[in-house]
Amino acid sequence: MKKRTESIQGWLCVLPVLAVILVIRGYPIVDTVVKSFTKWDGFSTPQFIGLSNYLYILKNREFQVSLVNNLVFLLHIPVKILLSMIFALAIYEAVPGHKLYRNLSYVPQVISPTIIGYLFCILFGFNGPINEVLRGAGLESLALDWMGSRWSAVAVIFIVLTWHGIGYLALLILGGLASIPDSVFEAARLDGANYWQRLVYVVMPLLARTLEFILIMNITWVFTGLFPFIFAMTRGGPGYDTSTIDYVIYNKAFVTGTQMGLASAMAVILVAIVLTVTVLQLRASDKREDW
Amino acid sequence: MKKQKLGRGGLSLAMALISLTFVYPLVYMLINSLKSKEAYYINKFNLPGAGEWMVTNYTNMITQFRIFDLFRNTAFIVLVSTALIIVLGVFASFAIAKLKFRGRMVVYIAIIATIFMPAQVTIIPVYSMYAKIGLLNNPWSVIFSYIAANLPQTILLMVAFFRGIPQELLEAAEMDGCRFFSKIRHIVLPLGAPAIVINIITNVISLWNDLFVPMILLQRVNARTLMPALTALVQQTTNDPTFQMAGLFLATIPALVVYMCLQKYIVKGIMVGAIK
Repeated sequence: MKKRTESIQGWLCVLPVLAVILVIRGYPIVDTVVKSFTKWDGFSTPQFIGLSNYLYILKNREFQVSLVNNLVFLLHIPVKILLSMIFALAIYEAVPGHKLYRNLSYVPQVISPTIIGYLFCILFGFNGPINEVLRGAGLESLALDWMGSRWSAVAVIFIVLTWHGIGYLALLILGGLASIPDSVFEAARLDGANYWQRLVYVVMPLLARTLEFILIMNITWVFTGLFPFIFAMTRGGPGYDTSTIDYVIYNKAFVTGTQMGLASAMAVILVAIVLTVTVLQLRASDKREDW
Repeated sequence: MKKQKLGRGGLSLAMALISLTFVYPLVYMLINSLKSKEAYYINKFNLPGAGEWMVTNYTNMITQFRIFDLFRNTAFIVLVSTALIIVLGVFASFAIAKLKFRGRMVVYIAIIATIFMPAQVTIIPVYSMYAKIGLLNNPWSVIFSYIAANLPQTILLMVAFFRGIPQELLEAAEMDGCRFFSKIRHIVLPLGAPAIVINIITNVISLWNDLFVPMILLQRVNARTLMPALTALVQQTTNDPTFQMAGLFLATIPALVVYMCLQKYIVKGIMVGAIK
């Protein structure tokens, strides 16, 4: 009797959530896959064209450039992890002012990526403050039109992404550090391990899970979360030089407006990339579980 | 020993410099939004001189750009979405964490699996679905999308936390005649409070800051929310950076205030979440 009521209660509790997710997430994903095999402008009847969209994407320069940009932006992750690691360790060691630094480091996470994007456009503008400082320091040649060409714009976005995430990652790493019992450190110290040895042989292995989580989260984020930054900073330009896959999808579906089928195929590829990354990582971490 | 102290001082100084970069952009935005654009082009780094303080940028933001209307539109969507996410999330998470029913792991995995689906992937069908039932330009279109998008993450955190609620406590309450809802009210809500609070905060901040979903679903001018409207404004006023900065700064204030008031919970919540 009790079992039955518990069963009914359980299902009643999860049913609304399942319904919402099924309608607004589940069905659309299936529909996106179906539409990816069609030529469709969003209004008229979709026309089945088999794999044409996918074949087109393989040869499409805009998609290739965006994929390369995504891959380049992936490189900001190790830089960000390294910096936030230093930051977290310094806070953990309770250097003077560590609480203030910890709280300030999270501020970029609170500001909308859209606003951050526009703000850094102003800061890196041709007549912006950064160029002014560079010119003042006699580095005229470095005062570029930052957002005006591909690699300087990519560099600025790279910096912004790193800046934006340091505080958040530092907090996650601090959480990981806090879960390491003091006795472990004590034991290592008694064994005569110096600071660096303790860091490499004691702290790092115990942080492995946290770092893994950070890695999965950030790789997926680079493929799916850059839209507002790109939109605010470059609109994918000049041309499509700084666009990313998620930005191209938006562009094909809602700006040029008539290529919903093509955009759907790109979306399917994006999901495939994200799923592959997640599964590979989870599998790798399962294997390492044994030690 | 002395060397070590020197090292710590140096480290602290380096941290201070890095921390400065986290807040200086905000300060820069505030200071220069109080200047005329002419004053801005003369000197970007000083405080506005005496008698040069300008609030015109802000009054224009309020009277012409009507930024508070945008605040209201956005706040409605953010608060209703967050409330529904939390209510649905608490019940579902309690069921998954504490009730034994057939298929709960399948349900849990199905919900969690959608976490990594970006909005860009589902937006096209969602857009045409809303268009068909006439929900475009209606705030509820965005609310439904937000609920679906943010529930999985919220449930993930809450389930991890609710699992720590002792089973004996729930059983004891049942002995005392506690029915389902009073168990939620008297045990789950108080004991799960840390997880609930952090989820409220992170949902409010992230939804307030969102650009993509409302930009696609709410294109009519008086239905717009803050971030999409700001992007339109910035494009129309490229030659007036100080006016832009006034808008960008105003739009940052609500989330910033939430953070400053509740920073203790946020910092703790993220650190604890990292372990689970």
